[in-house]
Amino acid sequence: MATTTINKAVNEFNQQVKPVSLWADAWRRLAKNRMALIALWIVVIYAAVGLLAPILPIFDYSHQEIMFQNIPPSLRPAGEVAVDQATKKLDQLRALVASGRNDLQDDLTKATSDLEALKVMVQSDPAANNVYILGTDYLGRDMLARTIYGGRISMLVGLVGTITAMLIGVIFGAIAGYVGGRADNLMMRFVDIMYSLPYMLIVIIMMSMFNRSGAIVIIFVAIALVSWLTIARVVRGQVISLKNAEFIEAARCMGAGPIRIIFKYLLPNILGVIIIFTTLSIPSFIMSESFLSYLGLGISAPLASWGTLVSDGVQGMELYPWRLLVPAITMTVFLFAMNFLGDGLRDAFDPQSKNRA
Amino acid sequence: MTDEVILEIKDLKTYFHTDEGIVKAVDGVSFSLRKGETLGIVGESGSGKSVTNLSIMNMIPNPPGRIAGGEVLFGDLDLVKLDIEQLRSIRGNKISMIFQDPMTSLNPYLRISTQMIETIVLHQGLDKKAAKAKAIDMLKLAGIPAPEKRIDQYPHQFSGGMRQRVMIAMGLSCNPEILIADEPTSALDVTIQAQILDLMKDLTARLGTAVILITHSLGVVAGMCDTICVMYAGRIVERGPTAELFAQPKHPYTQGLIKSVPRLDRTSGDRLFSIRGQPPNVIDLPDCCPFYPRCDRAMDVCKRKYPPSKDVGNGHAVSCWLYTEAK
Amino acid sequence: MTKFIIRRFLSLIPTMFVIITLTFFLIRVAPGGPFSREGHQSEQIQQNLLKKYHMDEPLIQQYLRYFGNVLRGDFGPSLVYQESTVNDLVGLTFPVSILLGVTALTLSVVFGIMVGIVSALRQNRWQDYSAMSIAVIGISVPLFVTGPILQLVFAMKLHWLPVAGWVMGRAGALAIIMPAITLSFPFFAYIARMSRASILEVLRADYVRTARAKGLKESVVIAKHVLKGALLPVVSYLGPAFVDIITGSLVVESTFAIPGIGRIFVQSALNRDYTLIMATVIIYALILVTMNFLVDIVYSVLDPRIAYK
Repeated sequence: MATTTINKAVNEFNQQVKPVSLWADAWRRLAKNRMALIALWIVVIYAAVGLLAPILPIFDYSHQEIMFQNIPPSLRPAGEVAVDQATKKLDQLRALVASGRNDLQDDLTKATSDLEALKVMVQSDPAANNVYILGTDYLGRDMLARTIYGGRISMLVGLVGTITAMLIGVIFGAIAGYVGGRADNLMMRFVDIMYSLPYMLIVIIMMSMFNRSGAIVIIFVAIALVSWLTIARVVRGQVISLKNAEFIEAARCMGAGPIRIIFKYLLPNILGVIIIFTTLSIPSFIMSESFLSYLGLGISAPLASWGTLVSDGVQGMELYPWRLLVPAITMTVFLFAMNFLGDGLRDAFDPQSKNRA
Repeated sequence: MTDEVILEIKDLKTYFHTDEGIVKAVDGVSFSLRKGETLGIVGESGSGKSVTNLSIMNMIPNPPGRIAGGEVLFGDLDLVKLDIEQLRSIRGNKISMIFQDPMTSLNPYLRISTQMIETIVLHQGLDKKAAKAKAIDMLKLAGIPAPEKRIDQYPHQFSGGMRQRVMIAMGLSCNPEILIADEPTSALDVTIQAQILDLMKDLTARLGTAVILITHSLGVVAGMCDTICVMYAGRIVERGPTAELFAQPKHPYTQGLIKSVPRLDRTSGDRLFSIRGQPPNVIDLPDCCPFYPRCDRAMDVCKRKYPPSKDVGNGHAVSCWLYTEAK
Repeated sequence: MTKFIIRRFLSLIPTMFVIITLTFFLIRVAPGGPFSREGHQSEQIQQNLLKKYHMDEPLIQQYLRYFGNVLRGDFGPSLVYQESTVNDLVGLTFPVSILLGVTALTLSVVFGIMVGIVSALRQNRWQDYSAMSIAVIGISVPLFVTGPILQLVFAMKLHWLPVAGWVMGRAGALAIIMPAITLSFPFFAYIARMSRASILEVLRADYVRTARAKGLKESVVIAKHVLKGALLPVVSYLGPAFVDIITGSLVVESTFAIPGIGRIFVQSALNRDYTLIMATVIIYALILVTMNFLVDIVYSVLDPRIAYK
């Protein structure tokens, strides 16, 4: 009989005998899922850009160029674009005045002189040669840089929050599930009560009160404070169902203590669920953070997150759509990718979803 | 049991297209069933016995499975070629199926009455009241006490054995010609097993129903069946009347199976026998006798070609090169 | 059955208690008070104000006094909007938010389940892919982005719907359409995904195989055997969903200028209007806890295995 440790082993029928570990199997299935792979690449690219941001050749995200506010995305130097914008505005005004709007005559005069001043300034100002690929915001800050740095913050919030929630939740749930009995009961009652708190409200209250100083940390704490509940419940459920499995009993017979059993035997088996939870909770964290930022309770200037950028962008949505669309699309694509990746992972780990082709 | 053949399976092939290759779960199975006969299909897990049954009523999940060839002749209809409407009029009506785990085979959210009445109303055209009365009768026949009260209960309110009785009652409620029972007792306690088997024997004899019984237990088939088919790796390796098969098992696999059953009349001290080796992986199996790695009497030809079926008299047939001339 | 209901009802009480206590002390712990914003008021005036609202008493005493009042249904005066009591303010705005919330919930449940069923039955075909892609968009795009985009397209460019405002005002009934759709979108997406997954799982169950083996038509199998079990998780989700919807309404109300509780809530947190904050939190919590309670009851009615535990 052939062994199963060598990769290319064959049995007596000349059939290949492949080792099948859970991870190898799951990875193979994930690899076949095209959407999930594309999603994975997208996430990797985002993470890379976020990590490498300080060394990328982009403008400083907090540097303001008042002369070049609200420049639309363009491959041409900012000076030209600004002049174009001003000229267009001037033409519009001229047309209005010509069609009878004499009340705008003063505005027309002012606009004309502004345009002349602008043209002069553009000659001398070195900043006029900057190319703002994704445009600028209302303070003349580069949208590309702000979106990238905003992404750093948002992704960081998502990651740190998730890891915090996960650590707390897994430990809590594993202990509750394993120990059982009254301790478990108590812990689950605690979870139930916490679950029924209107947490968003409490977060909002916390954010508005314990303000500004160390805002980022507070956000992590606030959001993580409630998210660990779900994973705690799930882990507890898994532990309870695994706890009575025979391989655990075997380990106990060999003298393994509870800590060893929890960490060496139970947790690896729950890892699948944990991974799925993590990938799906990062987008949820980012959403919550952007929600808070939209309400004005999140990250404060000059730092930005996708949430604050979008909330800024909403203001000038009709006239300067790129200020909304650039961060909104960036954020949506990332969340989209993470959700698809999470779905793909879930399918890959689910033994029943095999052979669907 | 008469001589009239009501079901004839000819060279049935059911393949599954999986990520790893084509699984030939059923690869050329042929047998026939006579009116009132109880036929047992015996085999290890993975031998293809359940898939054979599901193929009869064309209930293979598709994807990834497909009936790739062969005929299932019921009367003058080929069930493989029927469209879904015709198939449905036969399912539950002329051919009925009961499954292994009564816990999960009954809908936990619906009352027993609902689940039994729907079949009767569908196939026999009775109105709800009459159907309910008939269902209560069937439950009584199946040995459920106080059936008028219990019929309105939910499945979780019955014990395992009771639930299987309900399944049997449900399966026989439209008086089918054939009852297919897929490991009906494997999920039950041993003491209950005997009861359920007796019940099946009794009811089917009374109603004249033919039975195809699938099991991995030789003990079960010995007590219940008129004829036995032994399956291995998707094919029937030996077929014959029960007494004949047990008295004169021809195929080495059958012999091994019978030898593996512990006997009360042997002295304790002998080692228990088991066939060495493992059943094969049926993906991309080459053309050979799939049993040869485990066979004591394997010959050279066994590795190269699958042996054809040879009739050795008394309705007994075997597929083994020991009994056929290799050409 | 009634014992079950009573037991569940009683367990609401410790939860409410914890919530009220927690929030009360939480907001008092925060730096700054409702009157320190006024800036140039003299010491004396500040003292008087504190006295008027019993805020010079020890915290425990204030707590007990507050608790007593709440039990009588009196949420006190607003500390910031000095002419109104909290009951007035809440009474005006809360029903608006509830109406918006219920509409959004209904939309998301009805369409979510429909789409989930279609997706599950046409698994891996174009209907499934397109529906699920829309669903993923639904959970990936924030409310405060869909809202303005809808406004931009349907109100400002196409002029089909009013930009903002509420049913009671000039805009009329049409005003509820965009906010309700915006608010319901993420939940519709979640419910669609959830029901699809649940139906697919139930389709693999043994009892569905039995139903098919009995010769039932596929449509009967789905409607009678599959749906009941498959939609139970959706029922469980309704409780937390409704609360999230009310939370989401904070944003939607501000985008569409709807006079609901959301708009004054954030302001009251920033202004340290303790009584208003407390009232909002308590009512929210009450809704959440009631919804969970109702959902549990409905669930136990639908799943016969539960009530008899």
